[in-house]
Amino acid sequence: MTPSSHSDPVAYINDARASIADLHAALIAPSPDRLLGCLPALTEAAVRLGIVENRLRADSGDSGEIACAVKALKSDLRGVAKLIEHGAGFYRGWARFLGAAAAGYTPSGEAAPLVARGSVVLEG
Amino acid sequence: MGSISSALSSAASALTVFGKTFDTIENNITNANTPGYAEQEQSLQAEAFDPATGLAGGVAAGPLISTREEYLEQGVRDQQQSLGYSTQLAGDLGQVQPLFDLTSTTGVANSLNSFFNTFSQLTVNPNDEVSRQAVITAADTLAQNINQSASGIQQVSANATSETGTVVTQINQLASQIASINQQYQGNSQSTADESLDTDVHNALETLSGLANISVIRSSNGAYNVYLGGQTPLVLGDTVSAISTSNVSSRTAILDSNGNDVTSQITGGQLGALVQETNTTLPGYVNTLNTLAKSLADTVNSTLANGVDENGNAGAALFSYDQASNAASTIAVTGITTDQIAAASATAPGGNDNAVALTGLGTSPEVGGYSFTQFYGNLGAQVGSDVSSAQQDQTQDQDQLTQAQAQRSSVSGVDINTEAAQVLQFEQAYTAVGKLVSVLQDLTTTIIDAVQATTT
Repeated sequence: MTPSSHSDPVAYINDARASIADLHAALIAPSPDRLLGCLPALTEAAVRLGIVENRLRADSGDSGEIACAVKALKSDLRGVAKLIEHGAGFYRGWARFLGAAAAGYTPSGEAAPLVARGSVVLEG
Repeated sequence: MGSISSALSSAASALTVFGKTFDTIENNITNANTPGYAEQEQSLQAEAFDPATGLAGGVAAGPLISTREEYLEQGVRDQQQSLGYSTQLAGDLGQVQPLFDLTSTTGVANSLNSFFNTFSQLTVNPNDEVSRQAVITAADTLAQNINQSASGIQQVSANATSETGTVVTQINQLASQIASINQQYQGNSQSTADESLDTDVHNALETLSGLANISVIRSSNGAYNVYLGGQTPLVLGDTVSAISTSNVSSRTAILDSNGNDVTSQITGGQLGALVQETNTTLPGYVNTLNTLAKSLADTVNSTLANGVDENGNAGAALFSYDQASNAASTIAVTGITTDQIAAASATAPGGNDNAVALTGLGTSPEVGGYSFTQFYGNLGAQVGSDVSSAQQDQTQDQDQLTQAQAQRSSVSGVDINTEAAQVLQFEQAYTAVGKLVSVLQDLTTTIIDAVQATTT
């Protein structure tokens, strides 16, 4: 996302939507790096939405246009939230699967917690 | 004591097993870069050991177990089921939506307004033949539009019923295909190593998932057992328990191979959507339309009956219908003539008192606490909301299917330590973006509240 250079609330919201669109694409074909790469823009979006909120409380501006933009943003967020929920659920299950495969089950019948084994590479 | 021959037999069996294991490893190395190849693992089975009866023990090669984990496959199949359901629903309800176009100049909404406007015109000159004829003409147009909406929904329902039969046939064909593959697995343990069979069975299971909600359990001999709705056997080994469909009293039923009604178990895939549409959603729309038609006819007729016509007789009925359960498809104008329209009240023959009362019906809450126009508008809004919801679900389900397919290919065939590290990285990444998205959702809700506060 290229952030808007001006401080128009609608532009801020549209910038946030662009960040969410990038996150949406990352969630469709996820990798840890791609997902983490979305964090700076999402953080910036949160800051700017905070500014929009404060401005609305001080001065209504064109609230109709803002309402329209923010409802579209809300819909976008609902979509990515479902993808996050679905994706995270998958990896939680996969972690249980791998935990059981690697270390069996606990006495209470739960899959053993998944532990990442560190490795050292020596080059010389 | 075991004989030398049985000891040799045990040793020979072990050597055969080790040979097969090395074959498997070699095969994995050869195919390491083949797209879609799932790593194979040689399972070992203990042989019976009983020296008294000459059973030498040792190990034998069991079926090859694919590391294409069923967990990953089920994740994709779950999304196929959801997508099949939402796609079917969105497509079929999309055909209903134009019947409820509230902005149309020819639909029920517009003809309801036109009908009550003719009573308004009648109040101006209650004995004018043209105004009286306009009432009958508008009533006829309104009745026909209600008939068309009802028949339009019934046509979509009939098409869905027909498609249900087609989908059931497809399900049985796929079940036969899977059973045939199972037969090969059961007949020859080596066939579990056949990548072509593996691909065929997974393709069949995925296609089947788009058609109905199924669960799949792989047995120790490599066969895939398939259950509809998690309960009704569809494929057990090489045996197919074919399902069928029946339609009694406009209700679609799915029957198992013994003729038991298992409709309630069908909640996913195209079949789940078709059952939902034909048994619940579409009849619900027709029932609401029936309520409107019956209420409209009864209310207008009873108001007319309270007045007197041009000849001083009690007002004749304007509308007729067969029965409450099919009022929308049978509502029609009676053989009423212009002079029989009761525009006047009994206390003031020749006046317009009853025409005024009839005009008032257009805006008063006559059905379920709403005016006729509002009631119909609510139905149109409900249809629009259902279509919109199904379309949004379809988009979301397509995204989640793509995501599940990407997840499946990202984890298949990687060694467990690398996989463990990657899964933990994913969990951290999802937690991080999840928290930020949650913050953004809170902020968005706050902004919507703030916008509403500034506009009220």
